[in-house]
Amino acid sequence: MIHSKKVRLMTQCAIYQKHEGADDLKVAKFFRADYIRLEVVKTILGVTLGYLIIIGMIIMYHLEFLIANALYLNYQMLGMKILGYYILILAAYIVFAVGRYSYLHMKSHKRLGRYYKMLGRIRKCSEEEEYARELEEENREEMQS
Amino acid sequence: MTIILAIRAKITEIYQKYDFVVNTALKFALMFFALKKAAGIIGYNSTLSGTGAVIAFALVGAFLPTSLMVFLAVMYVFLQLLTASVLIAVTVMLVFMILYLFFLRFTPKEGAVVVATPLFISIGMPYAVPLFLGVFGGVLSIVPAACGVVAYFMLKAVTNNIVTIDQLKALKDQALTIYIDILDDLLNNPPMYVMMFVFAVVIIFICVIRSIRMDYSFEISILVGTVVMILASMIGSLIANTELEIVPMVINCLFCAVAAFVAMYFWRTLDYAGAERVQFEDERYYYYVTAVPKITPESPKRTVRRPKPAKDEPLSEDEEETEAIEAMESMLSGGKRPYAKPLTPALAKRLRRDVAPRYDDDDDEEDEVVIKGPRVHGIDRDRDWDRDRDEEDGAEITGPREQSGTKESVLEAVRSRFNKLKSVIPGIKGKANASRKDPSEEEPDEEEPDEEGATYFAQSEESSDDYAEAEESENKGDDDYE
Repeated sequence: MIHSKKVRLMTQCAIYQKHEGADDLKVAKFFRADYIRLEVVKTILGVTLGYLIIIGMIIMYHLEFLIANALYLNYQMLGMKILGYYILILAAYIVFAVGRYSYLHMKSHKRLGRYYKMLGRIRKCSEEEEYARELEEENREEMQS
Repeated sequence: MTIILAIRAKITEIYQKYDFVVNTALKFALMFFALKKAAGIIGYNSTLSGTGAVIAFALVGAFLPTSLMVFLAVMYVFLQLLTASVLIAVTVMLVFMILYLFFLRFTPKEGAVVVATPLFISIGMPYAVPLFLGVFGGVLSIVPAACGVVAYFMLKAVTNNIVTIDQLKALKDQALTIYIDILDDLLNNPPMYVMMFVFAVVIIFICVIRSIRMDYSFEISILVGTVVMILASMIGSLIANTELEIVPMVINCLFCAVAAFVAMYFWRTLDYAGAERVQFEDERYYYYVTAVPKITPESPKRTVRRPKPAKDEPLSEDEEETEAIEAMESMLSGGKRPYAKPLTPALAKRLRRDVAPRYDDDDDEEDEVVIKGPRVHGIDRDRDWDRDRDEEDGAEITGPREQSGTKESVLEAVRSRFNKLKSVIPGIKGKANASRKDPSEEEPDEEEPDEEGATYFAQSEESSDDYAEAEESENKGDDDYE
């Protein structure tokens, strides 16, 4: 006989797994600090790559000027400027990433808590079902004997 | 209003049944129109600009996640531009990469917005974007919307600088100049910044207002968003010194606001309305479950008419009484259709008072209009069963049919029964009218009611004393017969 409450719980769990659950379970593999660290590293890589592309495009944009003034440019100053902007942008993104991924981890942790609670209730339902089945079998045996 | 509700219910039903098909079709339509528009702007490759190629791209995009839809659209643009100039194609690709690395990677699920925004701008409805995103998205929707604006103006910048491929080939040595011109066009573009500013402000306003806990927060947020959009567009164009035709802009804003209202009206039902199909297993079964969410459509307001309190009601109107009796008769003779005749509140009131007074103890129930099942049973219990039985037996009975359950009717029933018995058996003594008298005043030769009957009389309430007396007198009649 199908346990309707158990089916309801399992359906809710399956729907959760289908949507947010997949991402949440990935997040749950990590401790909070590890997860944030990983995401910050990804952000640093992304920002660095993006920044390099921007620098490349700027160089292309001013290519004629750079070629014409290649000997007279203050490369140290230029490098400092590029690095300074990079650090500024990177710092802003790191702060943003830490805040965002902390929040995401917290949210997914909450959702997972509810999910595990539902799993516990499913286990309880299964145990009840099992117990009822055993009782039924015992009664049947008694009746037969 | 009923028609609109019916349409909405129908749409919801269709969406529930075919949610996957509807979503895929919507994605296909979005991709198709967006790519078709892009082909109209940068259609350098005739093969790719053909409807067949566009449909093929759109079909692939329809089955991809929204985050990959953007990638596919960018690839389409890249291939189109590759026909014209490698440098420009790479430049456009790099700009998209910058957008992705800096912004879009934080909102991967809103890729459709990046594709839809250029489409809406190109069809002359840019103001729909912030309104829709404000209502259906979140504050972070600013990012994909802004990226969409950049994408649109970048394609415009490309077309501004490359008219035809032949022209481009003639300027082959000046590819760098074209690159610089395109970037100049893109970066020194005040309308783009104004649009991004307007989008951001409107989305923030709508998100903030709709999150306030108050009635009609969504509707108010759209209205406020529209007003803010008009003002922000004016202020932005003043600051950036760009041309702005105010009247068309206002009309456009109002039209988009109406569209947002309509979309919101349907979305509130459609959201989460899609049936979920999941499968799982336990130790005994495999489950293939389709979970269909319950829909609770807003029903039209019903006006409940309540009858006036009993003391205010005119009690002794002959017409009302006649109607009440007729209705009662109709109910009693209706068989399986006890409500064969429509009851008005006044009739129902009278029925409840006249037909079944013994069950009408609760004063609170007097406000109820509907007579429910138990009342019907109560009425049936009060039927003149004796008379019915006599009629079935073929006995000739004269006199009006009385209302069951009332004091007078019961007394009259007892009286008629007594008279009938008296006529059949001449030995019976006593008068039918004696039932009104107190049992202690009965003739001394009559027997007292049995013990059970006495207990019943003792327990009966004051309101049913008359009925009890009638019962008693009937018992006496029976006793006399015995």
